[in-house]
Amino acid sequence: MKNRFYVLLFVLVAAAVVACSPYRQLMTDFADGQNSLSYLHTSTKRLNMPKNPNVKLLTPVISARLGSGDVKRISTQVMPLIVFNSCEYRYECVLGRNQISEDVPQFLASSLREETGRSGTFKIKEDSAADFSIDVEIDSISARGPYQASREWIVAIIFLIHHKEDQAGPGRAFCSYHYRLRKGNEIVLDGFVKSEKTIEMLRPQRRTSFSDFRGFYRANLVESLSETIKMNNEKLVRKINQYFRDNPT
Amino acid sequence: MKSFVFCCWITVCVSCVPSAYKLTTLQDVPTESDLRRKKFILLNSRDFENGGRLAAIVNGKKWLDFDQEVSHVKDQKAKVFLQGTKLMVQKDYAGALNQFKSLKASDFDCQVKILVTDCLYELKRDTTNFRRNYQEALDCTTNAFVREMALKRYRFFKYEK
Repeated sequence: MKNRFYVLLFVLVAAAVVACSPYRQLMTDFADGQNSLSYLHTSTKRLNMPKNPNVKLLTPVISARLGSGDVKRISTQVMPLIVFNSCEYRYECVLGRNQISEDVPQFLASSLREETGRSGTFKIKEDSAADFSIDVEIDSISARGPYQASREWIVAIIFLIHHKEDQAGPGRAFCSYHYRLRKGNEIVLDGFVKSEKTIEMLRPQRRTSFSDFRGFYRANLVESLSETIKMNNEKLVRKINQYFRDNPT
Repeated sequence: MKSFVFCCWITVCVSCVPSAYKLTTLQDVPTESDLRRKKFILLNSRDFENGGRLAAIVNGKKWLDFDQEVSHVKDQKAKVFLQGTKLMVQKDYAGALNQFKSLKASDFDCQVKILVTDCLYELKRDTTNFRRNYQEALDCTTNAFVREMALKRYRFFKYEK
């Protein structure tokens, strides 16, 4: 009889833990939507500046693995105390290609072209007659962060008190490019630019549904990734400017 | 009688809904969190002598006081700008757009460009290139707060549709 009671209790707690798990909902809310990488350029716009030499931008490639958006289970902690019960779920949210509305290499090409138009001392040209060529390879790109959900409920004979709390972050976005500037076939500049951005901890505000909050977390990760691309583009243009300053053509 | 009370109740409720737009003179510098929640409009001391009072009136939706205060403003452009911002707070974006037509995009630290784009966004004019408009406003202004305004507006457009 006693054994049956414990089995029943175990089944009840296990059922409650599974029923309260926000995994499926998190997967839907976080992994299914899309956000844009586009940003406003804040670099100083150089007006009426002669731009020389011409540089051909080869189509950027991405060698880093950027798979589909995913939510990974990290841990589940259960505290079954019959009257007071609590569960804490920890996940890792990973941003993927399907959550970004642009094609990343194409976006890099267009944003780098625009950045060059603003702050570059050289000119991006599409034809093969350009004196120089640059190829950019995204060798590392990622945006991810933890997501934590806690569920508590108190069972008191005729009523049940239920409490939910979610928090996300601090997330981290990282992006690195490997670039090579060539004059003809000779590599004249070879290096990396890297940027990182950390996202502060987020909690749902009043009147924000958990579903909106998870979508907002995804948007924050995309926004941070966009920020790292912006920083990399600015750094890259500065490095090429510096090269042409040191090696006038 | 019942329907009258109901209508009054609805009117009170609608008028209590907080506006998305808020006027500031930067006396109390908005925090990052404020900037993410509200769309600010700057009344700088160079263009508006009584900016603090005007901001308080518009944010408090005291429209009778507003008309009285605006009548003291001498500059015609400032009057039009204030009328436009009032209409934006009242969510009459078509009316605001009409007001801003008589101003140049570069007026008031290029805020007119931002506010016109805001109105088009609120009116859901999908043919507008919002990114280009906010970028132009950002490049046009030299005021650090207005630059921040343009960046945050684009953020609203991008992530909070």
